[in-house]
Amino acid sequence: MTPAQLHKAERRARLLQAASQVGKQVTSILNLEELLPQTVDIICEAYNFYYAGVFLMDESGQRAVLRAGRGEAGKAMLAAGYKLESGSHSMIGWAIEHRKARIALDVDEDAEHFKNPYLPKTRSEMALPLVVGEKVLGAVTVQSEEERAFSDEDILTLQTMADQLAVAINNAFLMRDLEHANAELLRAKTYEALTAATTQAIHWIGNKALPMTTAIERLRQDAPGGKIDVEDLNLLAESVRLILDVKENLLGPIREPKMRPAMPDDLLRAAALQNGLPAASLNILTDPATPLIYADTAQIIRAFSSLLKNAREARAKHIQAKIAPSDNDMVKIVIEDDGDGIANDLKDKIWAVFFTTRPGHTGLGLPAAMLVIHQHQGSIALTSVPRQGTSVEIFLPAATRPESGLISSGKKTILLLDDDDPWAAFATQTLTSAGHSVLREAGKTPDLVLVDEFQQTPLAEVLEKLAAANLTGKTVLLSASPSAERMNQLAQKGFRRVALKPYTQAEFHTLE
Amino acid sequence: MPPAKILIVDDEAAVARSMQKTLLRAGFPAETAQNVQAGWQALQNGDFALALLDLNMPGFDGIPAPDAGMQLLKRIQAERPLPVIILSAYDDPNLAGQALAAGARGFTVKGREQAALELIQSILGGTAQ
Repeated sequence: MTPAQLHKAERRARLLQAASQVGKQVTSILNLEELLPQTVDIICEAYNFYYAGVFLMDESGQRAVLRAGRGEAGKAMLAAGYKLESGSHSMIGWAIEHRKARIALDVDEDAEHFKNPYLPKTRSEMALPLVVGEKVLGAVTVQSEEERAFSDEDILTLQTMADQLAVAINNAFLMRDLEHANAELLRAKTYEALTAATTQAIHWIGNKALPMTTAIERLRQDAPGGKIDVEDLNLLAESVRLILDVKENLLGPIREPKMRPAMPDDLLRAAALQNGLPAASLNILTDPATPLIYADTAQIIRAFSSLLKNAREARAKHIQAKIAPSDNDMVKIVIEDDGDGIANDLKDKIWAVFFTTRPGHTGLGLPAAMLVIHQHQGSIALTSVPRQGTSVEIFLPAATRPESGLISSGKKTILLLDDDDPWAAFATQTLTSAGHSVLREAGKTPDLVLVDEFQQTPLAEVLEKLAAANLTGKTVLLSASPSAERMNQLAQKGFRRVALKPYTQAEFHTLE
Repeated sequence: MPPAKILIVDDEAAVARSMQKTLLRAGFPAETAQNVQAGWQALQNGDFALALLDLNMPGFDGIPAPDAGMQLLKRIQAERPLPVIILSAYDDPNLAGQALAAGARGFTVKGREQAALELIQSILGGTAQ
């Protein structure tokens, strides 16, 4: 094989490879911003051309706008918003108008060649239309510094590439149109759902507020006689309570979550105590290998509380929770009860906002719990058998317990007032390992008193004893679900320190 | 002659109780029922001169339905005719038209209790006897 034949064979191999690359991209890239620059790079590198660019027709169909250009010249033209009129005095304009390739083997001799100031070295040029069916999408320009740079083979492979590129561009346009249509549909559906939900909300709140107006009117009529009907006042109070319940259930999960590592069993225990659930009726089985969950503790307690409240109202005698690690760095929490269960025809309605079968209820407990779990990137599902019970399965993301050495060593005597539960064991171990002495009941005068807000002993009783022992100023109330109302109540009694209940060594450090 | 007794059927207990108080103050004995089934039962057992029916409440099958009051209205019309006023949370002329077409004597928006009272007085012939 002569050197000339070898050179030709190598060049052909490169061209076939380039055509193959463009062909692959046609099927894999639907983003024009990615597809077009890669295509011009492949063309220039494979053929060693001076410049390649892709023009696409604008929405009017009158102008071809440069969408990708090779090298610095391409960047400059793109920055300048380079465009050519269809049918204009240019190779691109001609190719688009006539839907045919046009080649200028010596640009000085071609009347249609437009001398582009950005590309002064161009000696030969080829313009290839991008055509799909009846539609012209634009054109590709390929330019060389050499005269007569294009062989017959080049023209054939480049037109094949341009045809493939046109298919890819058309697919991208179709995908874009589909995405726009989808987005429009989603917007319409979202608007429809919001309107429906808002209407329901207004209807519900309006109904609850109605008795207030007439009750107030009756009170006003009675006022001159000096008689006030206490029942009317109670009606007002009940209506206001329900309206505030709705507000809390709707707005609670929307508040910005404070995510941190937390013990799921402790949050469940807190929810049970918040609900006044007798200790004997809830059994929590936690796999010792269970990691912490990553959660806003107040919101998760609210969600668990709704589930436990439902179980109680379904007359459950026993509730069992099983907590264990699960796949994909999740923690699985199953809450099972032996209550009334849910009628089959109601199962698909229970997650709907404002749906309830119980008088005096808002129908927001389950939807709000679902919203909270979803906001935590978790999932919740419910199975129920009428007259046998209900099982709720929740998955929440696991958190790593940062076993940092942040906790400082100290020698304080710390009184820890809590039930004998896994959190108290963790707290005792953490504080002891930092050098503190931990008391579990009153004895030696402590330097610091840590009180769990949720424990079997009523909080009022615990605080009364601490006040009697002059320990008010040394007490920190630990709450996984702090509220302004509770803090206000405590402050009235002199207890001014409330902290988020710590679930990591680092969080304990902030209490010392 | 004892005063005319009125039945209020509404699952919003506070709304029903408030209406009941307004009627009692005006001299009309009134009872309440919280769903269609309980309302129908009360009508079988009591001597009512008029019924006020909410629209959206649990129907005869116990499942909440937006036209539950219409279901009860139709049964009353068919089996135990007496004057009926439909109560609705919506000031909706279409709903009012449907209720009147189905035989209701009146349609009133919840919360406008004075208007409802005047309607009852006009249907039953003046003030409570």
